[in-house]
Amino acid sequence: MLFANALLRAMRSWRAHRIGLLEADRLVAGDRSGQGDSGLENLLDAARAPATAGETSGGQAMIAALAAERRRAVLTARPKGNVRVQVPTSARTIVVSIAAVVALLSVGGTAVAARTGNLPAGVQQHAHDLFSALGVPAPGTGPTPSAPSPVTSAASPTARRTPTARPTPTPKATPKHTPTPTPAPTVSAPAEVRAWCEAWRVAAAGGHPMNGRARRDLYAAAGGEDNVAQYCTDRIGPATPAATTTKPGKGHKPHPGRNK
Amino acid sequence: MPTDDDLADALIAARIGEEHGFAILWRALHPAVLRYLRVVAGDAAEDAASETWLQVARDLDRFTGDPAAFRGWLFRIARNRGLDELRRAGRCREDPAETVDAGPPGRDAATEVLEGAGTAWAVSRIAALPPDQAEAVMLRVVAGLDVAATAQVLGKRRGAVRIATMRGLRRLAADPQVRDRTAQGPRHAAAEEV
Repeated sequence: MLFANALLRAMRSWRAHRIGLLEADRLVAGDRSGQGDSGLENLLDAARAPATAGETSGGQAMIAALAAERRRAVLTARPKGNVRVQVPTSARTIVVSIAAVVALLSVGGTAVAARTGNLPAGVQQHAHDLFSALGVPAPGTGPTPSAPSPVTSAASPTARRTPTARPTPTPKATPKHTPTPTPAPTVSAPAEVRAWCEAWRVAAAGGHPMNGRARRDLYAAAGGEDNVAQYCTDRIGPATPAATTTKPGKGHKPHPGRNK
Repeated sequence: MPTDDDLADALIAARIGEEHGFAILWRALHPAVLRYLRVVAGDAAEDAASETWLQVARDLDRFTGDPAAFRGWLFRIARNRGLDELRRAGRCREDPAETVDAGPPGRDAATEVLEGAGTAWAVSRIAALPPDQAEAVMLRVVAGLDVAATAQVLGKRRGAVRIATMRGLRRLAADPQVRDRTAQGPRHAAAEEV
């Protein structure tokens, strides 16, 4: 008995090892031509036998359910496609155009406010830093028609003819331009300083705004925005009609006539 | 078994929701799907098969190809749904409410024995193999997929599929139950076992 079992096991392993790739392909294909393992072939035949009654029971209900599911998918897929293509695009256009209008209004309004100097001081200063080339004035220097501030006109009688004489003090100056004592006295070439100061006075009086770079240089030279008035008075004298009519070195021509 | 031409016509009919198209497809392929899913998902095979076919019905417009390609697509879906069901069964084993509609009432071991006992036994022996070998054997032998399609379903290389199939067959050949049936013949063995 023991011997028989051992023999059986030996035969089993021998047979098992006999199946190679080609033999496996033959078995898979159901080809019984080889001198095969009938137990394995029977098993494979049973595994691929035609449907049993248990497997196909309830089939009619399932088939009806599948057809219904398919029709539902067809019905919901088509209109969904249309809806997806059309309604959202129109909604999208509406949303986009509303957003565009809102953006245009806000940007445009801000631009107008900035150009006329009506923004809050901090914002105006930023706008001025960014867009001074486009004529955005610094805070407190907006090109309002009533440019001459009562302070200056009252304070200095000499400035009565040209209200640009003494610049309005700008208490809202941002800390960005706090006095930087470094290059102040050294850089000043007289012609340049004269041009800066004249341009600055024009701008301070509400005329053509000053070029941002020149303004920055002037602030640096004067050691801060607050010191510009004194600085200019020291360098080119108090503002007089004579001062404004001298030819400036750079393109910043002061136009007294434009100081409306 | 319907020919490939029949299946191609059935695919066209099924795509527009005609019942006779699904009837041909389901009768031709459901047994293999169910047997394959017994190997993948065990007791959840019925649910997984229903899920598979419903997904086929929903997504049929996404499929393009001949009946051979359809077989591969079908068994790819079956594998995914089978693994899903297996995971779900593992998560909530104590919730049997989902299985109410799985099959007709009275479908128990006794009827199983009467109807296709040999098939059930054979599938159970294949299911006892290591999973990769069992799946390869089922897809090659029962589903009738070629090596390339099987490799695609299993996400393996062709060589790996051939080797897994070969090893599975070797192991089955060495299976004592399979060897015992050689002498006795399948019918008797099944009757005796149960």
